[in-house]
Amino acid sequence: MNNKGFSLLEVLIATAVVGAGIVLLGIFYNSFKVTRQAQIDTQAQTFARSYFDATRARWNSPASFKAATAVVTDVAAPSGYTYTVAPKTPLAGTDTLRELNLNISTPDGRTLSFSSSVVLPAE
Amino acid sequence: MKPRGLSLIEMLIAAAITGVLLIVVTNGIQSASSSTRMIQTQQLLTEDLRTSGNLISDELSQAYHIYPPGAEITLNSTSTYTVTNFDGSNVWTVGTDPIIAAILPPEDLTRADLCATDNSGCLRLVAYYPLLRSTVTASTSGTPEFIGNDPQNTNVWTVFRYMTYLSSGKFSDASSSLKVAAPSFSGSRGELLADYIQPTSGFTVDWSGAGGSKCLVVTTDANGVKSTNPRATCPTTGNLESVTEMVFQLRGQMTRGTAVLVPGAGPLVFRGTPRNLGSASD
Repeated sequence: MNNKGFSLLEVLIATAVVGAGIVLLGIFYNSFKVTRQAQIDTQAQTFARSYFDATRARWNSPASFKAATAVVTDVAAPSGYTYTVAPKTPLAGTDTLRELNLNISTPDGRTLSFSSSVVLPAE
Repeated sequence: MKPRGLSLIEMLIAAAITGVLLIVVTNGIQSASSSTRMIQTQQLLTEDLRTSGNLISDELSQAYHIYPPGAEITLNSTSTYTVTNFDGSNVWTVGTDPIIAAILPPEDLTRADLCATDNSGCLRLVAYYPLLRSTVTASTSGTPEFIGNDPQNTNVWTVFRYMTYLSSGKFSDASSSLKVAAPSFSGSRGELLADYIQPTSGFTVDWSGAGGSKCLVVTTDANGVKSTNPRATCPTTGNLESVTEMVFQLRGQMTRGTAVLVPGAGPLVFRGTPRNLGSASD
């Protein structure tokens, strides 16, 4: 038995094997991360729709549309999510169209922006 | 150094090590491919839930009337598994059972007078409710509707959609025979809308949550002018009012070894917000 350590070839092979393992792990971790992110996106998109649906429901008659002085804020977001809404211009009783910008903070620390317009309902 | 070959012990040890390594590597490859498949399945399931929720939301947004909590809806007959409640009856109580029921306008409003001869001019009743997956597979075995046995997932729910054409094309806000506490609908059957729904908490309907449901009173004054007044809480018995806003949630569950909830972070939250209340023809 010789006792002179590893040959260059042995070291190269070992490195290649370890490297391949790390690359594979990275791919799996990445696909898990992307899946989780996609699910969070879907949840946020669903909530955005839900929020705008709620706003339209509250403002579904000319009277309730004109009477609204502030955006709707009591729509419960899914747990882990928070949101803020800002109208493009301050709400006024004379509005015929209101553009709302909705920012949703996701559990993984991203902020997603959505916007939609609500028109004054017909008499 | 003199080449002397390997001893039997050395050979055995080498074989054992190789064996262990082979097992580890095959297991790794297997679990990697099954988790890749699981990820794809989760994505498909998320997409299914979203499509189903959007469909329900879309249909509810057209509704003339959404039955409030307390209404007892009778669907077809108990001989049809597609409408059978968990207790074996075909009566579903809104608020107690996870069911959403609504009256939709005719598919073609211009044909509302021709309902007697043309279904596209008739009002429609739709209902969405859960059924046990095992009931569905047991009842459809051997038919083209069979969705396949899944021994690991017999306890999951499915969501069904029931739709039937009514005998009239016109809906009356003031006094409609449909706006009663215990309406009964015959004929038709439920159709599968979504599969692999988490039992109990995967399809929930919230009629009272914060910013949740409200009921609408439609009144007509002496001059025939209609006004709509939302009421903060829906009466629970004998009322004729429609819900103006409600929340429902969808979440999937699939077991392949371990149970996975989809989406992982929490259920998808949808809203039913009918925009045609009070605009129905009298």
